[in-house]
Amino acid sequence: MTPRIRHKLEHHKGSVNSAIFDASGAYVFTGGQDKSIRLVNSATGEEIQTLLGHGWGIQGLAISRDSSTLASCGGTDRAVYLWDVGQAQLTRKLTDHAQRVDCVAVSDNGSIVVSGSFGKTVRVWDTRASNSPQAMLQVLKESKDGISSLVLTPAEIIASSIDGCARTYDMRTGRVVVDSFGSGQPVVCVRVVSDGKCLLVSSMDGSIQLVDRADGKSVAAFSGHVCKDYRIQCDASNSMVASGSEDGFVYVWDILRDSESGSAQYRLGGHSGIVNTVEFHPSAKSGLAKGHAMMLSAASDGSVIVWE
Amino acid sequence: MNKRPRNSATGTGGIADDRVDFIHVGTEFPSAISNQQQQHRTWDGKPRDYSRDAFKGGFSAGYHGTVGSKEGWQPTTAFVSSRGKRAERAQMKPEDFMDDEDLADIQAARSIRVTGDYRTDVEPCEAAASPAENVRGGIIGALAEAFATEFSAVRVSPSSRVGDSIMAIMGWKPGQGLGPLSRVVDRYSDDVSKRLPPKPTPVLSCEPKTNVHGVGYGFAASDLPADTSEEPSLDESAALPALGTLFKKRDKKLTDASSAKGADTVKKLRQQQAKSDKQRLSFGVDDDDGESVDGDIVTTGARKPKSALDMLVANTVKPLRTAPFKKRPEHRSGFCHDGRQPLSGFVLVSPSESEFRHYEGPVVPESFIGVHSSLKSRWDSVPAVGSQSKLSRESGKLVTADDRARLGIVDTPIPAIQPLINSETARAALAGFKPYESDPAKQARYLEYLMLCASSDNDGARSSATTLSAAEAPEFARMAQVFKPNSVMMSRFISSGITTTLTGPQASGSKTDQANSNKPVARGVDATRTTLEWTPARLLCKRMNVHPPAHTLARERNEEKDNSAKLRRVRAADFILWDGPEGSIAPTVLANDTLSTSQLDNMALTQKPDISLFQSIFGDNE
Repeated sequence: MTPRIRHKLEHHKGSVNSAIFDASGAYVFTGGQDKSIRLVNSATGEEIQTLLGHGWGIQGLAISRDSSTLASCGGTDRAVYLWDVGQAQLTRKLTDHAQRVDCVAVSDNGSIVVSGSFGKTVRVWDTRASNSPQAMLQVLKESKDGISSLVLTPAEIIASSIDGCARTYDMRTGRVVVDSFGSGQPVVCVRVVSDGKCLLVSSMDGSIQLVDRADGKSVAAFSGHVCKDYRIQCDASNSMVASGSEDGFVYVWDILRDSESGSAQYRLGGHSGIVNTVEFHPSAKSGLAKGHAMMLSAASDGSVIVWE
Repeated sequence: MNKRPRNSATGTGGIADDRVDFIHVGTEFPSAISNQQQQHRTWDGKPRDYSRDAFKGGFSAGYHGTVGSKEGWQPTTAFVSSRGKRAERAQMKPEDFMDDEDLADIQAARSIRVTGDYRTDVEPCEAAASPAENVRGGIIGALAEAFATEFSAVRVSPSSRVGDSIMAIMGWKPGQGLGPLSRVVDRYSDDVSKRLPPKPTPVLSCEPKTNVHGVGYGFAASDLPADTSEEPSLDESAALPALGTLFKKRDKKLTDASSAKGADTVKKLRQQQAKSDKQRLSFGVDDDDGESVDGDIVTTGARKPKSALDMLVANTVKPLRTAPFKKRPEHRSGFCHDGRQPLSGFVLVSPSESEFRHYEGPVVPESFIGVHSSLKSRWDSVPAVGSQSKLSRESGKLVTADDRARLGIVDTPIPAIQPLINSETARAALAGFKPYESDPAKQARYLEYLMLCASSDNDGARSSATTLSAAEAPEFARMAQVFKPNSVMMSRFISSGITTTLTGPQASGSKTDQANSNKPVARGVDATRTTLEWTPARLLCKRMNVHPPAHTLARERNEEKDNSAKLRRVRAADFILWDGPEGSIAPTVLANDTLSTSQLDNMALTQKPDISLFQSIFGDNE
């Protein structure tokens, strides 16, 4: 079944850099270059709220599982903003990064926020700390170049970096596993797939790989999209892998079917700019009910499309 | 006894060491007398080698160096107290408040003017009382007035100039020049005693030359003479620019050279002018009747140098012509071909003169064979002997192969096209991006080259078809290497030979065909794995509900033991910031320490620190 456009939202002025579903999938948060974060109902497509407070464009969004804490990171702000979504207010600003913060991730209970910046560091914050100096728990400096994306699992921090490596910081074993991919191209996105067994890694040489986390071997590779100059994010559900692309299309691969050829199953048009990010609906990730929104994509022309 | 302890760090000791710590700021005050002079002075003004104890003799013996004398000495009777005077304030003048800059401004603002009698820019009418008699010499005629006007501008009444009065005392009379008197022999009376003073030298005023204009500037048609019968006048650019102003009053009548006679007229006019000039500007040498006015002037003294006026006269004999010639409208031959006059300032050359005769070329004999080395550049080498003639004979025809053989032209062998890349690379490159989009011919050649490389790897060099050239082969090889897609793409085309890639816009949602389901799985590059160690923060583990790793715990325990000094410092810092038992501590100083949050929590002080803290701060060591 070909994905169709359910809603095309054009609330933002300027590029939309980040778009996420909340944990239930009912809402969509989008953050863009116009320094605003918009909360939209994914079913109806109407805008519910706008969160203003960033001084510069927004590079990343993350929300906790209980939707209590929304973390957003800005460009030149060098800060991580924590929002109270219910009140639509800024609760906290975490400032310690030396350069712009490009990605952010929140733990399930919302107490830990991890942010990665262009300044090669990943900082771990405690949102429950009373005063700012104590909020920063740790700085991870192993990367040799800016951090492009972050994933926070219950026991690990996974950071992908422009130096071409994906680092998995395991809190239980106290080890960092550095996976460097042979091409040397920057890794722009990393996601965890299949109950944590595989890592989806997208690099700037135009390839997306599915890597087994146990031994680092590549399971499948997908290509066809264009990722040469920009940070194009990808996502994976149970059976599909989707990625944005610089040519304005959303590429979707079926993991089982397309792993041989690597060429896209679907090539969805609808945006007229660089498709910055793609995200699957939480239900699609967990493999439950279908019928409502399946995928979310945001592009540099200011449009956000909810696919079904 | 040394009051100050001598430290080895500051040097060996002595006063000089104290000065080491001095920082010199600013510049020295300049004293009124120079350094040298200062050296020669003594503190009390006595001579350098003055001895206060030895008796050296002298009339003031006994009282030397004292105020006393044989008669005794009385102090001044009245003690005058300056107390009263001190209360008086010195009158402050504005100059006291001024600094150097202000004083300099005052100086600059002071302008020196010539007062009263000494003024030189006096009105000409005042001094024009007697111009003619002041100017000595034989200048007669209309020029005298003009001269005098100029001269009087710089002259003042004789009495007012000090120099003049001095010279008058010495025997000079106003209007005379300076120099020895020249003896004049009076013709009539043969009296040799008469002596004439020298002629005055005119004071030149340097006026800027304003007549710097080109041909035809500032002249209206009405200015120009209608006929040549009038006397020619001198033009402006005299030898002496200052005296050019003298001639302003005169008419700007210029000779007209546009008549048919042309150059002859000019010459005649010139001669006329010279004669009249001679008549005009004569320094009394020749009168109308040839007699001199003042008699023959015989200079027996020093040879009188030619004055500037004399030179002016000489120059004006041949006047310089810079004024434009204006064509007279009456002359029909002076019109241009379209019936209009030429531009102002231009002279139409008479058409008869402009035509020149055209002569036919020489007659070429029949047997003449010309050697045409047309279009041959200097830098070409001379062709082989004999070939030149042959080529010329065959000029106009293509050089055929026979001719080439005859001429001995040897072809360099056409190089074969080498396949520089192996066939896999070529095949892969064919599947990849194709360069030279803008040049389809080149792209076709590139593809052909790749086909050649792909298909026949082992055939070795082969001579090309017409389009491929060996020169481009290395370039194409390089391009193929660059645009060879990576292995991900490669894997698609392992078995199906050469196919095109997924390019161009497709309808959204189109499904690409899967050829075979038995193809090998497209694999990316396996990751290179390295493992390092890191210690997660305690609090992080706590919040994530993760048991911290074993080595972290051990390290933390060790760190606590080693942190005694740090702890002391921490406590000191806390003490400083501590504002009471209930106050909270903000240990911002500790941000860079590697103590974890938990340790910081532990160190929150609620009681007074022990004596060791104070000892560490105020203690003896360090």
